[in-house]
Amino acid sequence: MSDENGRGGGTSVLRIQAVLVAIALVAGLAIAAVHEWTRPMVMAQRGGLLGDAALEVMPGATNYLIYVRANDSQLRLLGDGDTPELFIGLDERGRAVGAAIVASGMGYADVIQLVFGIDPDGERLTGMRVVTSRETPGLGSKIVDDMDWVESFGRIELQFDDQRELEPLRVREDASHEAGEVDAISGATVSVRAVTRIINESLVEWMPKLREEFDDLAGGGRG
Amino acid sequence: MADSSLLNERENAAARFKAGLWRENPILVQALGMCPVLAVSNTGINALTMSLATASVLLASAIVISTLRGIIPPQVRLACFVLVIATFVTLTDMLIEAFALELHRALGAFLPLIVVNCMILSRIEIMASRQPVPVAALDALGMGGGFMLGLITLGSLRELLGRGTLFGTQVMPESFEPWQVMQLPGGGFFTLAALVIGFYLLDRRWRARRTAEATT
Repeated sequence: MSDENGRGGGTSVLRIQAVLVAIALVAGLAIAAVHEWTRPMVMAQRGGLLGDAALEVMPGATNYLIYVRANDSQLRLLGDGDTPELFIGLDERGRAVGAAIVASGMGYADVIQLVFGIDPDGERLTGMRVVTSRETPGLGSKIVDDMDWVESFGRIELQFDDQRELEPLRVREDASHEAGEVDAISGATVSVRAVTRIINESLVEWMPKLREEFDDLAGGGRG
Repeated sequence: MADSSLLNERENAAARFKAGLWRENPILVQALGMCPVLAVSNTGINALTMSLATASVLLASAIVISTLRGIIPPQVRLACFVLVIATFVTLTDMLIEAFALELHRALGAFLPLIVVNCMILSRIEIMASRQPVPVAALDALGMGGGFMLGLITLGSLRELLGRGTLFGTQVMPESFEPWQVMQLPGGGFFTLAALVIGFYLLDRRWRARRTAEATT
């Protein structure tokens, strides 16, 4: 191959490595530079997408307050450069109609980021939207495209045991949403389980906070 | 299929450009890069973005590889090619995400997959790694243009018949019932087959006419 092109000859291993390293170095630098440059734009766009998704999963909400967790895990209103973690939905008269939680976790191909809504009493879900995902087109991507499935999250009622402890959502065929079950989709098994797991983990984390502080948060929090 | 000419190193650059657009069209004649061709050709705008991204990556990679062709050791040339292509794909991916997030979501996993588009690798291996920059660049422009031509035609047809719109604007009359199948993968295969047949018939007629003119 090399000789017929007249560019082969006695290439030493050292030279081969030097060329490879040099190309990789330049490639890495170029990617890092563009990444730094586009990051703020991507974050801003994603923030907008999260807000749009939050409004969709909180029926009746026309506006929202955005909270993030500070270092001491206390909630505070969104500041510059923060990524939203919790939306409190407000209707036209400024009354709180629900909350939307931003959650993410590993899917089949890459991290799935989603927003799900929860009613003010913390008894049922009010919706779910996947915001970022790279699931397999045609299979796992049904968690974004299959609107019947996506809308079914608005009907899911959370289950509690005798001690008022939250029971996790389960994935099942022919799920009964009133019993805290999520429909399985054939072809998207892993992605559906991932979405369910992400919501379960997030619920465990957020439910106590929401129960205690919902009214405070709806009023704009502490200051 | 005209492959004997591909290795001809003294080929005229302008001829390379035209070859990519028509006689060696990557979609209709070479049938390369079929995965994105069938997957993202459901609407005109998806096809446009995808083919534009692919063509830009091809052009940039061809120029860089052609510039470096003297120093790339033949033993690791494929590693170098893929490294350069992957870098440009990553840059394109990040730029589209920053400036057109909706499109980025529509194209999904197919953008990163441009790395393994065999049309790009074949142009790099056949042309860019053996030819001076102007020839390599014109060849890449021709092939990229041919790819865009094929993909946008396919996308527009599928959108027109499957949704009654063209680049998002309603063009079919209200009474038109969209053919659902055109939006599904099956519709992609049908449309591609029809395009290839149409291309072949048209090409044959043109050639026949040209020979007739030459002999008379």
